[in-house]
Amino acid sequence: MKSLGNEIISEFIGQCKQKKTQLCVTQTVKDESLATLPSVVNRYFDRAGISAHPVRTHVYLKLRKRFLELESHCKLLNVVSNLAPVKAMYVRFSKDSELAKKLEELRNMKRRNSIFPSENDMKILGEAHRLGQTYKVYFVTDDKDFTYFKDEIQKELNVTVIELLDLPHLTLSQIS
Amino acid sequence: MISEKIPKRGWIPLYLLSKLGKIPTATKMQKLIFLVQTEGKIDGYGFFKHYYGPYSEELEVDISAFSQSLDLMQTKIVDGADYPYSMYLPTRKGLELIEELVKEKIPARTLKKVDRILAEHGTKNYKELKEYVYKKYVIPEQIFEQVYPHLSDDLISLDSIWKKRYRADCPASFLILTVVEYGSKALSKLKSVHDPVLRGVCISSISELTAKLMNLTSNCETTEKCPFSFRTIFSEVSDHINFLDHYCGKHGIMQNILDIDFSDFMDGEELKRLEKVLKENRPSELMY
Repeated sequence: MKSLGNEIISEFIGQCKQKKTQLCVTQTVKDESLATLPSVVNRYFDRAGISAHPVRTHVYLKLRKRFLELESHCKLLNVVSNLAPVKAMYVRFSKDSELAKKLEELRNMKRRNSIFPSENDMKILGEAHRLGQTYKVYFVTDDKDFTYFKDEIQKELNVTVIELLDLPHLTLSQIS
Repeated sequence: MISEKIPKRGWIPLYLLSKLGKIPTATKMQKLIFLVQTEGKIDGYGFFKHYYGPYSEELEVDISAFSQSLDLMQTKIVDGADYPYSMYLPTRKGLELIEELVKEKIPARTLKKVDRILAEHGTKNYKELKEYVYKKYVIPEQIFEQVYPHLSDDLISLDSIWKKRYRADCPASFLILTVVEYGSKALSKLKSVHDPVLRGVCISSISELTAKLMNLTSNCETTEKCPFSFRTIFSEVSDHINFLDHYCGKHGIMQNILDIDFSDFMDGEELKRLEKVLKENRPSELMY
């Protein structure tokens, strides 16, 4: 599937490879990405009102292959998530009237029951937080659960959230 | 004594594992044991052969007991290049047990026969084994005529069950609807295939795959929550799908899923709609 985001990621990984800049991905992020692919493919086809399940599988398999190719350039990390501070942070957001509005907006947008991100998403952020205790962490994402709160996350967890479309503006000299 | 906790037939998969070191894919395990029993005339697992065979549910039950409760073997899911699949490995406890059984309970003549069959088939991969079994035990023409409408009906039923159960985030519906649509298309194309071996192999493959889907369908009925992750359900059926689309692709019946002809499943108008949706929505907007 051609999209601006995919091209940005490929381009960025290519540059990192060339400049020998180490990228990392945690096992949880890898598992979550692979597990989410089929439902994203399904939703595209459902929106277009097309059944064609063998074509969906074809698209899924191509995406999976491409993801594994890109992921092979990253170091796979097993990180123990620092989940408690992340959960506590979102609870604090829910008590702040401005931030609570954002959480409510996200709940409606993502059609979920809870105002909080999924347990897995919080676990992923908890892993970034754990890494942030030792390294400077740039957390590249297109997920609004994180991008809506990038200032707060920076302040509370020492994790710099980079919106996917802003990735081209992040110079490699900044992260090396 | 652990040997009293396993059924008499249980020595067969353990012996194969001790001889081969590992067995990749559930299909290879099933077909090898079928050949060991059929060509070696050895008593063991029941394999049903007509519409849905040769496949043994007893063997599947033993494998999960040996892996999950008795620690006699290990079942891992391995991410293959295209699909995940199951890999079976012996454990130390399993190797000790089979050594004891071989010494005390299995006649040397039987072991010799198994060794001979393993020497012939043990290094074949699951696709070669499946093709060999289907060709050698190919269903005769009159059975083809009987099986065809049954299979077609089964696929229609599965299609309506899973269209009703469909949810975008349900791995079972994603995969089962794929197989049903692909299998139905392949089945309809078989009508114009005249080579009985080709027809026999394809129909056996679609039959076995359909049986597997029926089984998964009834497992899904017994739990409120979907019992499968995408990876586990994919590894359950991947070798069947992989064989079917490899064989159909090789013989020009249908294209392999990775080279599929979109026009077999969607028209030009639908393709335009899909392109529009792709342009208008970012993937992250559909992740919920």
